[in-house]
Amino acid sequence: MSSNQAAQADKKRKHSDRTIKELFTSQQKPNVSGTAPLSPSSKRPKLGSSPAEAPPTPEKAMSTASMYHFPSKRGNAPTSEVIDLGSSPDNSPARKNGVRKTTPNMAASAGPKKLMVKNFRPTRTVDPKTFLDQTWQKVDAALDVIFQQGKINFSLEELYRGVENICRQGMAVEAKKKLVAKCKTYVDGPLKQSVEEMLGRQNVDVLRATLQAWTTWNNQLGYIDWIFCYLDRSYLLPKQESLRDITVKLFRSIIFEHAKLNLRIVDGACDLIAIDRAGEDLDREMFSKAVAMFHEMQVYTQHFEPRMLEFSQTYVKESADKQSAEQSLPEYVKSAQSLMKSEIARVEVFRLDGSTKRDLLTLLEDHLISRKQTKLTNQDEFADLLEDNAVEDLERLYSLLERRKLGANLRPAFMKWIEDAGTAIVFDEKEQDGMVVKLLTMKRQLDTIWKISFHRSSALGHALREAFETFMNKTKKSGATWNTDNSKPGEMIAKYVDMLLRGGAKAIPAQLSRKTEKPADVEAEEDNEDVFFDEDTEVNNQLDQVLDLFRFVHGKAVFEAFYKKDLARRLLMSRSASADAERSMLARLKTECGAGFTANLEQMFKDIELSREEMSSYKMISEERNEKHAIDLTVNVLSASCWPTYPTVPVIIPRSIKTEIDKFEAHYKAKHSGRKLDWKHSLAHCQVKAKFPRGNKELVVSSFQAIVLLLFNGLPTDEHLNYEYLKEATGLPPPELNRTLQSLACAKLRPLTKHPKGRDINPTDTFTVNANFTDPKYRIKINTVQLKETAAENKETHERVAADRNYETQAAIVRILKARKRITHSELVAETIKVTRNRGTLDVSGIKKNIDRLIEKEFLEREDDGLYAYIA
Amino acid sequence: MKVTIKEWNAVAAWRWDMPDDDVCGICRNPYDSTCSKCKYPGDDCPLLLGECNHSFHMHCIFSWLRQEAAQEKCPMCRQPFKSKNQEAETQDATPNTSPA
Ligand SMILES: [Zn+2]
Ligand SMILES: [Zn+2]
Ligand SMILES: [Zn+2]
Repeated sequence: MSSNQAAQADKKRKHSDRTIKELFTSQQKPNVSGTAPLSPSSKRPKLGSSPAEAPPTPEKAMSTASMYHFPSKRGNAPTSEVIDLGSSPDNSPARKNGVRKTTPNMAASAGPKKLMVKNFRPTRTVDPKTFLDQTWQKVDAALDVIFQQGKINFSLEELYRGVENICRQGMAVEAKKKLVAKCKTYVDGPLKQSVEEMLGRQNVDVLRATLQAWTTWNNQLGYIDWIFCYLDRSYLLPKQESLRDITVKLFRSIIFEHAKLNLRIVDGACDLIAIDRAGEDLDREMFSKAVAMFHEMQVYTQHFEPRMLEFSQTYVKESADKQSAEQSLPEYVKSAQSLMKSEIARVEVFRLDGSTKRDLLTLLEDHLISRKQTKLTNQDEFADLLEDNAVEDLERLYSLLERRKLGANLRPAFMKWIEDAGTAIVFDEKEQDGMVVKLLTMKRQLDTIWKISFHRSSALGHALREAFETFMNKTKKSGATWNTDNSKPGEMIAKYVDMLLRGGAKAIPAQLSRKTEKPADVEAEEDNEDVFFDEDTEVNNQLDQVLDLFRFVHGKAVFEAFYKKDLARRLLMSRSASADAERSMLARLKTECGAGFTANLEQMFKDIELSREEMSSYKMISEERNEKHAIDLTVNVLSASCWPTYPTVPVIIPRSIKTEIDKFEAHYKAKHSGRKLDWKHSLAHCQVKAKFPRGNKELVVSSFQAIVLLLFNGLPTDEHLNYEYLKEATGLPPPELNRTLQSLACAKLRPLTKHPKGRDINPTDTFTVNANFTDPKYRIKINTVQLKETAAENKETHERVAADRNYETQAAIVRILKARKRITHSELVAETIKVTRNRGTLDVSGIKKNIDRLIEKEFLEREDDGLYAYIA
Repeated sequence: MKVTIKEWNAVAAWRWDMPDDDVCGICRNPYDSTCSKCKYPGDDCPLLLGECNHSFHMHCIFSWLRQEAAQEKCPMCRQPFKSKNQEAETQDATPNTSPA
């Protein structure tokens, strides 16, 4: 309510029909009667008793003008003492409007005072001291009734006026002293005693008694405020005092701050919290009242809050210690979270101070998080969560740590687990074939954990990549790499890509296919929200993931060697599932490793393209010349330096084929003068029509298989060809011949039969046509032997990469010396490692060996001061 | 059994038909590889045989002969350098794509 409104309401009431006397004596004041009288002070805005609740004035509002007639009217008023006394402009009902300070006609203002003095002179002749004593007797008796909570049998209005008169006669000081002394006796006496009686009982009982006493005291103050209203306003207010303050202070200093009671009361409230913490029923009303009382007595911050925080600290510390010791990491995280939640919820429900909430939160975080870092970042327990892919537990853990900005402290444990798990996969010699799928699965899980559990923390993102980089580049001379220290992941990644490019979408392992992904995972990967994928997207998506792994591999030379071999096979055998996928992979490699890396690969594609053009031109010329060809010949002409090196395997080519090949060679030489062709028969494949007793088939076979099969042409099914004959007739060296015979007579599909049966080829074996050979399909591929890498081939590739690494290292050393002229040993080693990283570094002793070799070859020399110098 | 070859997919690697050395006397790279400036061997970077029977990558010998100090002499035998087969050289110098 604004001060204007208050003032208006104030004035309206003065014009009530009823006399002021009637108002006071009638005892009908709703605010006075009953058990909870409202004291004038209780109408202060703080306590929310609105003036609107005051008894409604029967009259409608008067105009301001009529109000100001009041003083002149009063001039003609009867001189009755009662009316004179009560006619003070500040007469009592006005205080129901509460806002005393803003009422214009307050006792403190000068104008009305003059009036009052006039009125007193003719009527007052009594000695003030006697008047005080007489009046006080009545007041004192009334106070006794109030304190004893007896029936109110006196007129509050009369007492009010009595006090007013005392004040008007300049004895307010005495009145105040008497009142305070009276109150003090009561509070220090019966009221305090009601609390003290509980001292032998629980803290909560002491608190309850205190709250009871506080309620009683507040009710009693209601009457006191009525009676001493005038004192309050005219005497105390100008001195910045108030009855309310004085009486509250009395309760506080005598009861609350009493040495024996104080801590018991405060602890009573703390005990209520303890009861709640123990999960028992909290007397919510009582706790609310206690908090309100502390606030009203202004002891919350000084007495309650520190004690409550002290207890909380002990409690939180104990539970943190207990739970961290007894519970597993994820359980502890949950307990810590729920403890914080319930503690803060209590503070909020009871609207405890912001400072309490802040301090409580600080101590919660301190004890549950900061001081339990060792537990929260425990290597083993954290590892278990990663092992179980416990995304939610990990999220809770990270969020908890992040309250204190400690999430990054998971870094060492995170990296350790990744390195350990990754190393185990990379060096699992029994399951090398599954390496890439396992790495991809692991990477995908960790990415999800990073995105969801770790909120894409940049520190942990770096940790993830660093850890992958570490284990992916660990090398070990092992059987898996033929005792070279080549990177096995480089090889396996190349082979995995080969599998994808040969097989397309259907080659994607089930556990990595997006179709089998859980919807939650798909949702998590926001960048790929589309749930429906076509095959190309599937394959491309897989290639991206593999490349993601490949990016971690420092030495790209191993990958390159194997990738090149596999690409060569795909190109020469026409085994690529999609030319688009091939191109997109090439583009990726170019981006990732630079154009130098892909130059040879591009030339391989170019050779195939040129060969296709060459063949169509050759065929056109043949047609123009009307030449007949018994066999449809296709030739891929390679630029040898860009392709893998292939050994030339000696073999006797059947005449019919030799004729065709020679024709083409003559054409080629004529067209490209100065060139020669080296035929790589081991790479050739062909289509053969074969009439078996049980039906005609078209076979896709390797050239060697075809050459062997041709030897059976026209033979009856029971005619045996022995091993020696086959060896003579094909001219193949035994290892090649054995592989070829094995693929024809010992595999799943067997156009030939070996005698005697068995998996291994022996020089004493003989072979016949398989009279029972049949298959549901007409066209059958049996040249897979050609597509498979042999152990010898694998060994050769690894050894060559390892040897190349020595040459590349030497070349790097020479380049460094050319640029630096003179350099120390350690600098040279460091520089060499730096520049060879992308291809594959040797260990320090390997680099040292190559330095020595270069010294032998006199590319550099070791000077007297120990520096190396370049020999121009 | 009756067996007939229908289709034969052969593979061959081409190389320069060089009698002696296998590396270019100027850039020291193998003939089958490129000069130091080129990326792709073969038609893009052909060889040139001199009347003195010394061969070089065409790009190598051309840039050699462009130097005044070379006096148009073969860097190996110091005889005036002349291409043995002018026609072949021009044919090889242009990228060879089939007329089809
Ligand atoms: Zn050259
Ligand atoms: Zn060139
Ligand atoms: Zn010469």
